Amino acid sequence: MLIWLAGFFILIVKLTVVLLVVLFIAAYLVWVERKFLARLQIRYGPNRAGTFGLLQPVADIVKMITKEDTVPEGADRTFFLIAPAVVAGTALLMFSVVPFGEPLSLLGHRVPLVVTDLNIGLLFVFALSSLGVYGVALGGWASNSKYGLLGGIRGAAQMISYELSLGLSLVPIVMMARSFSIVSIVEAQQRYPFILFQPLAFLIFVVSAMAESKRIPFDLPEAENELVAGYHTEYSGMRFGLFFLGEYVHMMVFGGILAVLFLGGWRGPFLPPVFWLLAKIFLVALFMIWVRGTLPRLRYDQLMTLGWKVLIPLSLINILVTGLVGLVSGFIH
Amino acid sequence: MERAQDVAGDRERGAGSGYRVSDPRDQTSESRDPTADSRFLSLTDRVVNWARKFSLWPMFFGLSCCFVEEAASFTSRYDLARFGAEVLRPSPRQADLLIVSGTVFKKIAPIVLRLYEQMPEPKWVISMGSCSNSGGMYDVYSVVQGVDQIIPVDVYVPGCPPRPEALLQGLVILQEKISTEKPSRRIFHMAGGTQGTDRPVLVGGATKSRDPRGPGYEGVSIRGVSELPNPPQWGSRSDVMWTPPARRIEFSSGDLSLAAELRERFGQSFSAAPHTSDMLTIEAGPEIVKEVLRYLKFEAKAKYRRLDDLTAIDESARRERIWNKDFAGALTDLGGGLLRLPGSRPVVSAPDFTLVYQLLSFDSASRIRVKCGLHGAYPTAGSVTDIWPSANWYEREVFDMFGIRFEGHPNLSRILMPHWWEGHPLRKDYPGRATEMAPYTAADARMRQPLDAQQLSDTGYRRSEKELDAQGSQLGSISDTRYRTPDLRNEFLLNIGPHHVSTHGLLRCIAELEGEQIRDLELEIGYHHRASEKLGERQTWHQYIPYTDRNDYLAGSSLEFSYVTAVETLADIRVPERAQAIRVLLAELYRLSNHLVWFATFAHDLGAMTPNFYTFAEREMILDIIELITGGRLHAEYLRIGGVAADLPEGWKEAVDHLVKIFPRRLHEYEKLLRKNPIFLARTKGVGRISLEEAMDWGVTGPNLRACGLEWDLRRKFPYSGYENYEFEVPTATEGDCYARYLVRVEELRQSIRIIEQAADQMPSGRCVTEDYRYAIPKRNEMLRDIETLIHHFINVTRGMKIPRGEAYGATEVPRGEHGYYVISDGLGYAYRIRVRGPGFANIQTLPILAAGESIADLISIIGSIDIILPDIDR
Repeated sequence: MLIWLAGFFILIVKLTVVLLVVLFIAAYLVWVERKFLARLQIRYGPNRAGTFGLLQPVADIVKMITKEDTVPEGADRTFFLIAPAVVAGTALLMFSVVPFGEPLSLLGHRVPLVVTDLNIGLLFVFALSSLGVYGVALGGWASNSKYGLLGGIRGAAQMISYELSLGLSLVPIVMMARSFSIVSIVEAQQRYPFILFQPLAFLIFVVSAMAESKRIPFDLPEAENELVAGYHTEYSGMRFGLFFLGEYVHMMVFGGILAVLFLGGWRGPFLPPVFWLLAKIFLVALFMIWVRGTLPRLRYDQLMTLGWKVLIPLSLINILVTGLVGLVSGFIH
Repeated sequence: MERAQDVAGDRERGAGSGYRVSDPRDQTSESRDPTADSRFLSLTDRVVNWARKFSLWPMFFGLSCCFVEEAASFTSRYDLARFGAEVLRPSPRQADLLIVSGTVFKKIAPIVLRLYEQMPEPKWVISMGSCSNSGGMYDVYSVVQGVDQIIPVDVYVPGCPPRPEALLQGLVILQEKISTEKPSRRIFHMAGGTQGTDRPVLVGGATKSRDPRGPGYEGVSIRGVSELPNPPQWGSRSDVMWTPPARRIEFSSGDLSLAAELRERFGQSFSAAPHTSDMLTIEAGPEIVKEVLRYLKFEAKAKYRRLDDLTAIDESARRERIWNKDFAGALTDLGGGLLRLPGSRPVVSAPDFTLVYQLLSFDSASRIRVKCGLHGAYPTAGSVTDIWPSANWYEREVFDMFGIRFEGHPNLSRILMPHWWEGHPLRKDYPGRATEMAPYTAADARMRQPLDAQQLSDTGYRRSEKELDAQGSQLGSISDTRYRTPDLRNEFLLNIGPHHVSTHGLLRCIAELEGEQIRDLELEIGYHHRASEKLGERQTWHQYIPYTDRNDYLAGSSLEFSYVTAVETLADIRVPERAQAIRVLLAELYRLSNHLVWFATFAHDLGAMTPNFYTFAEREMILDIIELITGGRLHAEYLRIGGVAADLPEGWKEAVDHLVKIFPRRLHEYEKLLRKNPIFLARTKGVGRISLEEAMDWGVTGPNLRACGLEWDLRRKFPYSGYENYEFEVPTATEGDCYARYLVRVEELRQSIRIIEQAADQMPSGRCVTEDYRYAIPKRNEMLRDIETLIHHFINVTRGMKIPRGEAYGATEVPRGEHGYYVISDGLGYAYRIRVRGPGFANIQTLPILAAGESIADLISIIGSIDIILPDIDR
């Protein structure tokens, strides 16, 4: 009973800490993005709200919370209201399977440093990621706006297609680690990170992950030059903020998964594991921001072509090759 | 009775509960008790105000010139992001701040109001620039005299346009204002409190002055209003000033043989003007004019393939008419010999309207003007849309502006003015000033909504000849019934615009979609109609120069250049060499500046955000040079008839040399971001293709025409201002797609810098304005030297110089193509009519051809690649 209570307590602590840290980092990722983009564009970026503009995210959040929450006439109220929560919620939940350190030993009990070590962690991530699409599609559809609808359709189509290549690109990893559990996958990279064995899978995953998190060059669902603000055209205040948050949490989740699956997770010399994980996530995020500052946007059909005709066949070939090599070298029994 | 009491009672009870929100009287009663706000509330007030202050997200909203300066304030030198205000939101739902940057047109006002109302509370408004503050220099029929008549305004930023720094200051003032608000009570749904805009919407004539000169001029009538009729009484003082007659050109042998050819073909029913100032001009009656035009296009030896321009002149206020009719006696009293106008004709044969067709032959590089007189108050002419498809819009414009009908036109409806408009503004009896009309109110903005997309789309209004005839009887005004009620076809219509991030101004595209593919596209223009042609009829020849800048706010002096060229052609004014070189220098600097903005926005349209910031940095450098020379940034207002306003200042050469040195390297660097980027190539190659044949037929000019493979540049074909002395190439490409247009423009940047280098190195010495002070504003030191010059100065800055009777067309190659002014003088201090031939009008008319079958994303990239600007489309 006591053990059960302690476990429950530890779980709550882990949940709270992870949630707060993730929200905090997501908020400051926005700051990083604004500052980093500014430097890429030879300017300073926010620097009036707090030193170096460090309080900028606080200002934005307070403002968004105190902003009028509008629901357009003719919108499907229920779906309109829950759609942002779906996006933000699924993104946050995904983080629950990302391990951020070696298991701790607490009073003789092994406490894994992950909110929940599901043995199908990877599948869990994909399931949630697919659910996240509903937020986008429903949000766009429920707004009763043509731009919203177009954005929602684009979002749904894009995310469904890229989910395939995203999933397929990870099959070789699962084959090599022989587990769907993310914790085991990290353990399998004790000696070398998988990026060395699976560079192609890594590339496919990065591209698909950017498409999944709807960032340039794949930000078609919200492409402001074409669709005003796409699926969230009609959202105001914190509901819009939730979409925003969802996007940045997504960035982190994919950063996290990338770190865990390809870059050895929390592993790294000298410094504590959490630092290494965060550093890797941060690097991935910086890369995504850099890409956003550099590239133009693809067209809808080009995006689809890239997904279906390039990435999916490539990842299938990658699976075959991995399987063959595995059979020959014997890491698959 | 009982019910009424109930309602009153409810209202009282309601006042007691906590749900009142916006009655301003409550605020005063609340503020009487300072202890009412607890410490908690004042703390949250401070926190929330602080947060809102640094998180003012502006809407991606701009109306005209001022938006360019607004955009500049986001770039490196000014960096609005420092205040946390760089998050431009394209959707009003996510915006906190509406910066009304530019002219508020009556046609766009309903949309401004709607966008404002779509913004959630709390929201603030900055009115940026004179037009938005008060109508500014556009006291003219199509412009609302201040946005505060339709929405409340927190901060006014003065300037035309205000510099980016001024906008920054406006933002800081707004931040200070926000600090004084008390939002907590509203946030916690309590009574009282203040947040967002609390200023009232003003009413012209009641709560704000309607005098465009500001308060204090009551009782003094304004120039151009009905008390001072335009044209003025017969005794204009311009008549007692002598000027040499208008320029007479020698016709080329080609022109002469063409005239002979026509005479042979059409006999006596047409006549050629014996001498003109610019090009061969023939007059043909309405019965044969179409035949003549057809002959000129298809059969003449040098085929006149392009319809340069089609416009009309309302002849009813010609002075010879008024003189002959009303003042024949007075004439003789004054000694008519002195005052009689050359070429007066009997009243009977003088037409009420003249249609003017201007054609261009690519083969012989020559132009011809065909005039056709029309009689009657609302005459009818034959449509030439079957000869030139591009005539479609031109004829609609003539109909809209003059009330002239065209038989056989597929869709004769208003084009520039909104559908509810009454009257035809360019008729001489139509009032020019907005302050002469009823004030535009918020109620008007609510009522005068634009037509629904379905009514405007293909199925909506393409009406048959019969319908046209059936409604032909009341032609004076156009009513809603002329637009057919919508079909119930199963189509997905998407409005892109009139206000949209990527329409580069106020342009409305109605796309008929199948998935994301565009099946058909309709355009609605006129949202940016600033009446610059009507303005020319009341401003003196010199006063009109500032308006020319604003006809293309990215090309600045280039447009002044076209205008002064036209006037100088008409009056035969010789411009000193130094002034010519300075003009070239400025025109090319503005070409650089314009193309850099194009580069930035084109990349932005494709989703690349960074090139904006890079090219705007160099653009600032160029604007610095322009500012050094002219004192202005966007609107230089520096060219003068007969020269330029001032000589080059000290230090200009070093600045230009520095630019010439670094620019090619920087350009190369920026180009690397795009030229070989596979995504960029995929988005532009083969997209939005137009063939050379079509481009020539539709009157496409400038880089867009050159991208189809024709080496056609006015700087080479009709050299002006000494362009024949510069070495440069005219870049061309062959594909006619977005990528070809990109290549041509980027190469033009390189060529322009070459011209700038040569102009700077070979800058001749001498005067910078003509010595013939009859036509110029004299230099100050010379004006103080002798009385003759002083008199010229006095006359030219007061009632304006007199330009001899006649007409001339002057065009230059501006960054967007051929921009021409067709000026008609009746021998007065201002023009009888000014016609602006903007390249955009012809270029954008091809958009449905370019976009058919492409996707929405392609449409955006096409719009970006053809580099449109709305004031030169709608004028």
